[in-house]
Amino acid sequence: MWPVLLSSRKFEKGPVLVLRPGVDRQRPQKTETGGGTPSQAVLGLPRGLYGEVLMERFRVLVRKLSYGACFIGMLFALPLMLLTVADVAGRIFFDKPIPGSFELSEYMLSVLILMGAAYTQHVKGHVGVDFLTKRFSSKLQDLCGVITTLACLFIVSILVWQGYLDAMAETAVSDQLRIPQRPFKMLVALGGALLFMEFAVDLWEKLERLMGRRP
Amino acid sequence: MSPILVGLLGSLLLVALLLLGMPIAFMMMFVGFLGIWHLTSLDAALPVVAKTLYGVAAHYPYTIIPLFILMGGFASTAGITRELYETFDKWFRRLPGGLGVATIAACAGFAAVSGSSVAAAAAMGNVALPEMRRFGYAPRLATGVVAAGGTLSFLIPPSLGFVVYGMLTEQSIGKLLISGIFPGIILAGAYGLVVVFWAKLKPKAAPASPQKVSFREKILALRGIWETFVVFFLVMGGIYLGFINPTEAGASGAFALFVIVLLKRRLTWKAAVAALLEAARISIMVLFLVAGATVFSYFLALSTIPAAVSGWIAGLDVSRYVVLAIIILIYFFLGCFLDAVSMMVLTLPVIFPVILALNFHPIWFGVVAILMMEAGLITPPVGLNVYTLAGVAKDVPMTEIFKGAVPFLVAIVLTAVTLTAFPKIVLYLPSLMGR
Repeated sequence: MWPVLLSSRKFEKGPVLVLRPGVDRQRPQKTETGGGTPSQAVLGLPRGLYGEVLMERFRVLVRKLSYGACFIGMLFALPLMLLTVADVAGRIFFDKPIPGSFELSEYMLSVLILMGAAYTQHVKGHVGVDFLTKRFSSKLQDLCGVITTLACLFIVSILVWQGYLDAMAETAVSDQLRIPQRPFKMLVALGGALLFMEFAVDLWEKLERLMGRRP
Repeated sequence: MSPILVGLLGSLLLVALLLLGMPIAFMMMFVGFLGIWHLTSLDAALPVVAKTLYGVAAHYPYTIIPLFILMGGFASTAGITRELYETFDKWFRRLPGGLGVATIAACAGFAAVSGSSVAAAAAMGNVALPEMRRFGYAPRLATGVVAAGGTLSFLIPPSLGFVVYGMLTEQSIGKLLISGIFPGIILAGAYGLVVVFWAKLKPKAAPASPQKVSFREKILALRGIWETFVVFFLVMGGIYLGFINPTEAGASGAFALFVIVLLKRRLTWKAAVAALLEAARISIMVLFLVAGATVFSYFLALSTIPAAVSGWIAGLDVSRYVVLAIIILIYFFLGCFLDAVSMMVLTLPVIFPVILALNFHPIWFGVVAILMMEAGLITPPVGLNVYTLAGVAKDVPMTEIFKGAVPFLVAIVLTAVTLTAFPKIVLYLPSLMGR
């Protein structure tokens, strides 16, 4: 309802929305009709709308965090490529493979995958089918969405909880370079937490639409 | 409740949530978790999802996925699609439907350096469609050719489809990739024939281009495909000869294409971010699906359904080819609604044991299954390539593209029949590999 006042312009113009405009659930042009800084906005609002304002802030924050985390994760694809090529070249031409490249590759892949899970959900990259639901009325669609999002929240919360416990119990280090596994296992909980927040925002939006408070 | 009943109820819940539109990866984790909880205990079920996800996300062989997708991203950035198209246009222009044949050949070439078929359809749509339209090709033919051509990426290595199949069935990814080469060439040839026949039967749909191309021009045009050849032989040659494993091949291919992009001075910040983001997004989608499938497979294994089904089917008094035909029909049907990777993760836990019980070669079945999943990319109502193309060719209605793709479906089915009759086509190259 008040996204206008709170969405940070810098973020709205950021690459998230530029790259996949068709998929993002909120397009910048729909929101660019107002002005003012967030703090002014909060101060100028009627009392009952604080909750929505906070939610809107939360939404923007989650979006920024998801994209930021995915951005960091995706950068690991480059060293992954370079390290593997260097290892191959070293092995074939000089008979000297790079020590630990195997375990480093595994760690880098884990960062790439776990950090980007939330952003992938944001752009609806985790595939599902909609050939049936898209024939439903929009209310019924939102109802289905609420049910499935609750199921997602349930399983992701278990993922976060157990991921944290698993990481805390982990004392192993990698074979050659002795890099501890714990920080990488912790990414399951961290990436999962971001994912949880994405689903929470999703759920909120669907509930609001279901209650007729959002177009 | 017997484990089998629990398994059946779990599968029903899975289908219900699928129809409600739940993301498939989380759906499989969710149902798998509930099932394991019911069949063992809560304490046993709780850690499964987190442990499986980390196990999948930090598994060395899976590093191949982002690398294969990076190859496609860098190949597009390098402008390889246009160069391939221009080369094959010179070679095939004089054939009936020559531009269409050139499009198919260029798609096959792009497939040889890229693992993702939607990327191929989009890239080729931007290059080949305007040309075909300029020469007065019927929209139905022009879009059908591009949509079908894009599917070749799924069969011609490097292909994401084989990687996922190999992961789920524990088959050698290297052998699977190599086994896709001949079937890929056959399918591309069959697509080419479809275009030629179409142009012969309906000359108005594909007007002949009058310009002659001299032999010298043809030879000079080969300059446009050297990068594709180098990268393909580096990647597949390396795997075939056993110098490098598939992951290393993916890294080498992506690196070679990256160098080509740099040499051509085409590297921009925007293109690099787009390629990396695409690689991350698709890898995450695929690996979450694999993690979901792994959790769900634990549950299915506990329910003993896969063993029961394969035992039952193996005991049936029918030819194994009847069962195969039914499985292929199921894939054809599912392909109308599901994307290929989802289809694999949802079906293989049950279907693969059946295939083994019927004594079909797992690698051969991989190729046939991938072929049927390619068909799913162009069958209505949900055909990913057609959707992509509808975004590129905005003036052509989607139904028209689906109709244009129908003759190519026939080519896919005929290719599947050929591969079933002559499994050697698939198995010859992998049988020569050392390991």
